Amino acid sequence: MNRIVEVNRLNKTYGSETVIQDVSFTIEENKIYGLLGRNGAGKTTIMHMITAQLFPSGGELKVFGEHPYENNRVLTRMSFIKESQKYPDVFRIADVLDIAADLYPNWDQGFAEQLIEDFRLPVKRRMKKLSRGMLSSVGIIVGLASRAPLTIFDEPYLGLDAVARNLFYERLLEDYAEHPRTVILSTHLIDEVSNMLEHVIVIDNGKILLDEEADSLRGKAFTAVGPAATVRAWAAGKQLIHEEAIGGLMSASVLGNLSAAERREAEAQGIELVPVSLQQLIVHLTSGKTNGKVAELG
Amino acid sequence: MNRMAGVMKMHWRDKWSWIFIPWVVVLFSFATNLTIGGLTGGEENINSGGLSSIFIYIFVCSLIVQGQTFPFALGLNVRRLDFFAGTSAMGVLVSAASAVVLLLFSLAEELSDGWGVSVHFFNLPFMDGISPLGRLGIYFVVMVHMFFLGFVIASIYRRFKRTGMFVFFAALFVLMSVATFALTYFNLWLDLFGWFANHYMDIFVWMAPIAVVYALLSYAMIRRATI
Repeated sequence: MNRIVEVNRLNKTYGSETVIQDVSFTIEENKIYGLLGRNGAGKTTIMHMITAQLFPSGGELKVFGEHPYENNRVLTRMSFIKESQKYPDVFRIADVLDIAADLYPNWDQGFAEQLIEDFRLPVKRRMKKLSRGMLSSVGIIVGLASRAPLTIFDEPYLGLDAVARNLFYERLLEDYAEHPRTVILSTHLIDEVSNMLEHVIVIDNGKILLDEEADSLRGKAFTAVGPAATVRAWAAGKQLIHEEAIGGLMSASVLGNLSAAERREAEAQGIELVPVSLQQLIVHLTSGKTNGKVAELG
Repeated sequence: MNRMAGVMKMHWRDKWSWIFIPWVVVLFSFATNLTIGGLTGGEENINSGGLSSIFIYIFVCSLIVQGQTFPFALGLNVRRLDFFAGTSAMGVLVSAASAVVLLLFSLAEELSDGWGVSVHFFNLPFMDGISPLGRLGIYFVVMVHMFFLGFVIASIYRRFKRTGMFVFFAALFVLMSVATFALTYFNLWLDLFGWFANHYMDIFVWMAPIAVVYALLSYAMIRRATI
């Protein structure tokens, strides 16, 4: 596997405030990554450093095997779409897309035009006059049509309705199938994208909390629902990440794989087992109460 | 494609900021002068100084354009060097083209003896004895200087954000205050004006290397600027 991004003990500090602390991970070629975490966890900062828009305070960072800073060999192979992107006031949508067409070597004009139609964008309208959702659509079109070998989407769909979000997922997957590339997707809507992700990296408080294949995460945790006493007894000695009691019923989420025998045994006791969704798992992991349990996951 | 050319093409899309607005402003000022000239029947010599508007405008344009396009260009993965080079080239080209147009106006003004109504808008009083080439040079060098002055101030903001602006303007204020005080205290104001009157050509000549210094400083700051 080719390593597209290699990050080794990356740090970012602002004065005495540490935003990113000793973060290390690698991004491999032609996979879809999810970079997840709460607001202010440091996701955007990391992506800004990968694209050389911010400078690391320490550590190593290589993209396509080279330093990205002022390096056109690296920069021309990346496309970074972020929610906070600013556009010149006087530019129309058409201007932005034409400039993107000039600057991205793999730009596909036909694809861009099709996307403009799909998202129903008024190309003659000024960027300043666009709604939040339309602004997001412009970013998505640039990100998809640029076909950059490393495409990074940071909260790309603020203000987009469910139909448009679905359209984005569909087009991204279709185009990814035809033109494989590496995609990093950072989002809060984990449930919506969880089926798409092949690898998940979770950041919390500037540190890596989780870095695993999505498939192996899906069976990582279970929620047991049943009579309170039974569930409590069953969960004893297991790694509890969440519990909730309603009346005489209780649900307890535990980490770890269960063997078939263990499952049968639980079901015989009247306990119902459901897998914990990626979103729930991450909510559990980053909600503050369970911080530091990462090691147990591995 | 060449990324620097891409940056220039990006600027070229904003023809209003770069070309139309400055010329609308300067031609409006010119029209006002002509009207007054017409009303006075050409009996008075009119030297309004309205021409300065275009030079002040390019300073402002440079400030604004950098603030608007730098975050955008970086967002499209443009190198800082390409942004700097492309934007500088655009500033120099626009200055050169403007200088040529100003010279044409200046020659027409000379031939028509102040447009028939004694209006001296494009020729400043001291320019009578200066060859067309010299005038072209003056227009060009002043404009390039103003462009990079705007650029370097905008770069301070890009690199050091609000703190940088604050320190810069505080320092400028202190420097000006001290200079003003010193000139008054030592009774040097008249000498200063006298010096300007005798050495204005030197000032134009010096604007060229000063503009280069601004450009180098700008690049040094832009290189380390973040979003």
